[in-house]
Amino acid sequence: MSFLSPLFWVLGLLGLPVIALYLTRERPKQKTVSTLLFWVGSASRVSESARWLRVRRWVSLLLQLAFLLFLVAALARPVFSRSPARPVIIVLDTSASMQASDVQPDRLAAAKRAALVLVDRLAGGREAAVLTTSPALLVGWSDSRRELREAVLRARTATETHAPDHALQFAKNLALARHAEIYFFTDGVWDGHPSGVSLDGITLRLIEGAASNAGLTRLAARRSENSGEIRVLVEAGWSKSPTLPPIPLPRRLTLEQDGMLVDERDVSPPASGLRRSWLREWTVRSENTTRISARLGVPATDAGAVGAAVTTDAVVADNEGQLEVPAMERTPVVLVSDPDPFLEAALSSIPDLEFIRISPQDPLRFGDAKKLWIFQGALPPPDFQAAGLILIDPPGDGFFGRRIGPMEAPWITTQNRERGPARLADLTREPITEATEFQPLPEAEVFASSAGRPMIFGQWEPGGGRPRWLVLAWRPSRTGLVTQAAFPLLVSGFTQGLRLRPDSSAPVLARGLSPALTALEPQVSASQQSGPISKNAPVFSAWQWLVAAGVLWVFIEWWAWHRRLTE
Amino acid sequence: MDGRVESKGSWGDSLFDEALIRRFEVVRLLSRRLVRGRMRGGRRSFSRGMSVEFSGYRPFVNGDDWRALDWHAYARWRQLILKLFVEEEDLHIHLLLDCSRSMDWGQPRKFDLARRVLGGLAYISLANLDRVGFIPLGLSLEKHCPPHRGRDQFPALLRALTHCHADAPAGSLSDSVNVWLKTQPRRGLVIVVSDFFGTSLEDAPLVLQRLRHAGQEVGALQVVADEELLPPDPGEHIFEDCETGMTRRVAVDLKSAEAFRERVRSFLESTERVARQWECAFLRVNNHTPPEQVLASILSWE
Repeated sequence: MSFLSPLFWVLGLLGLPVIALYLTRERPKQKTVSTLLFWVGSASRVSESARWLRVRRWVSLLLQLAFLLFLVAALARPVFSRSPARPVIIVLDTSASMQASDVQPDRLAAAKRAALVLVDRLAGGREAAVLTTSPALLVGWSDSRRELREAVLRARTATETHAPDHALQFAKNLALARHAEIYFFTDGVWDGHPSGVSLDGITLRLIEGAASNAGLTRLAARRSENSGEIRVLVEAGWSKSPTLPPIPLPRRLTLEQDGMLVDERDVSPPASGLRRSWLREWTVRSENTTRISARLGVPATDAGAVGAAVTTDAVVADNEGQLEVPAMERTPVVLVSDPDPFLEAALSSIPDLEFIRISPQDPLRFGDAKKLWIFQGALPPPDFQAAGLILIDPPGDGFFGRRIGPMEAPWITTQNRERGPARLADLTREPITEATEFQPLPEAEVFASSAGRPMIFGQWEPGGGRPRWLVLAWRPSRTGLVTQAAFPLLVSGFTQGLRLRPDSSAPVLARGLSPALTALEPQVSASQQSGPISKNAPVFSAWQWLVAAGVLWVFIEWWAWHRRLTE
Repeated sequence: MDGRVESKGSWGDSLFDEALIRRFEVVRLLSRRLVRGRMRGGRRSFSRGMSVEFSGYRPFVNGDDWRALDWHAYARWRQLILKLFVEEEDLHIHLLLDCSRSMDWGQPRKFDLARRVLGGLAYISLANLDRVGFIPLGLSLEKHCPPHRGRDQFPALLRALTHCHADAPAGSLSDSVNVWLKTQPRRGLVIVVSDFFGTSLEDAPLVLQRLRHAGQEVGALQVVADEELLPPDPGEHIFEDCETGMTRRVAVDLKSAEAFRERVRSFLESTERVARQWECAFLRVNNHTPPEQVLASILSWE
């Protein structure tokens, strides 16, 4: 035999005041009366039965103490079990669909209630653990029902939908060592069926509900790599329970950027069908950090029907989504050159570059390796370290090669002239004067070079790293318009190849939105659960009422007996 | 000042203040209208005597008052014939007050109400030219006030009432009455004021019986306190009799409380029944009743 609530044995101390009250009751009250004529019969009754009175008093005391013992034992909730109790793992589905208010106050609260009933029914010493599908371990193996209850009450819905695979797999792994039972409290709405984990061996406690929902299912943004353009994708969805009326109102989608209205348009729900989605794309511009928000609301003209709309919308949280697109990253560039207006203008025209120019006579500091260095008419020092290097018209030899002499052969091959961007230009009108031909060193790894090698693209490893370098054996300012126009593209492409900054073009998704949210119908049927739990399962069970009645009876009985109202 | 009694001075405490005396006067005036002809000062006596009302004749014997001889009859028949007249005699009113300790009970005390009522009766009786005596039952004979007539006796009666205390030694009420009856008081009206809590439940009938056997007209005024007629709170009690000092351990529960109420009811009913049986006027009041209301009720006795 074990006890579910052994702490209630503390109430056994109530026996002490009961005994004390009995002892204090031993002293009768002294009272002077005008005559004893009317007490003659009563007095004799007491005096004749004093011995029985004493015995009866102690018998009554023993009976009350016995009752108190049974009462405390009942409160301690004894459990008689011959088989050893298996530990229990409680898995709470905390996906966003558990916010649905079709079960009052919401599905997660109903799941918590059901889990608390289970916790309360755990026998004393029976261990349990509480997980959420986030996944998170709220409390490890514990036989303290207070800890378990607090853990259950601590569960919060996640801001996004998720599949319970990880949590269930973790629960199964946890259960293996101890042969634990797994109870999964869920509404059966998951972001994909937990196909990776079998539900066998898991006791499903399905929180049944029927809900219709309208909301955003996706809000995504993607920044262009080289410009300030941001493409925003908004997807809205509707789902309708077969047992509920359709969502009656059109919805108005409002898109804002940094609090400024970008667009607003009506999005009509489907006239029929259980699910439908709506998708649209916008383009906005910002090179800085920008906040995109989308909201699916009721048009102002239907404001009077907002109440009806809300009641048919089970999940309010998915009516609005927000995301923040980070600012565009710029590659730091150090230009080591004498003043060259063209070069500076060309670098300024590249939006993802941020350059400074220093004179070749200035001392160089190579603290930040995440920089692109451009030397024009100058050579880097021997201990040079950088992520990338562009040498424009280097005045001498170096790791990149040996100077051979003025270039005489055309630097665009016939093949390049016929393919690629060069075919669009009349290169005969693009003389590159004062170009120099270089011979790469044997240890240099050359990726590509032009004919006559006035332009060499390679990589070397002078200090452990492997920066890439580009040699332009001519000055862009002394070339024609086409070459000058292509120069920024060349530098930009080279910079992107260096990958000196994080990819800011990665898509950004608003959290908490998922197509699964609009599908509030469970993916498992109610017949799969092994022990249905009512939505309104009473936490305060009948035995507690009985105990309360017993306590009341004890005090009434004691009061009545003490007052000699009962024999 | 017709029939009005002068109350002079103070009597030691506030038992009989001026306001109470004025209320007595009101009651007296009221009583003249209510009981006209019943409590007059002049009453016929069984004895013949000197008066203006002729009663009859009888032969003269030695010792008779020769002034009552009918000389006309002697002149006619030569026999000494004595004229008889109805002698008017004032009523003797004996005010008996139970001075046992049980009267010193209640809030206000039963004893105070009893004394005030007796003071009122004395006031009215003296104003009606009756002889009024005061007998504190249970106290020594020296404290008895024999009947006196005259309005000037009222202050002395009030002083006796004021200085009377409910501290009589424990004893039977009927025995105290018996002691007084041995003094052979004149027949008259006895008004006994008591709670009739004697040494036994038979004490009260015995008091009335003895007074009636002595030829007295008896009026019984039973003064009780509400709190002594109700059972105390349930529980075990040790009750101490205020007269005898005897203690009894009593367990008060529903049954014993009900038995107590039954005994009280039986006692009250038997006292009243015995009073009717012995043709005694009877009135029961509680300690909260105003004295003048009690007096008015007494004056309405048939």
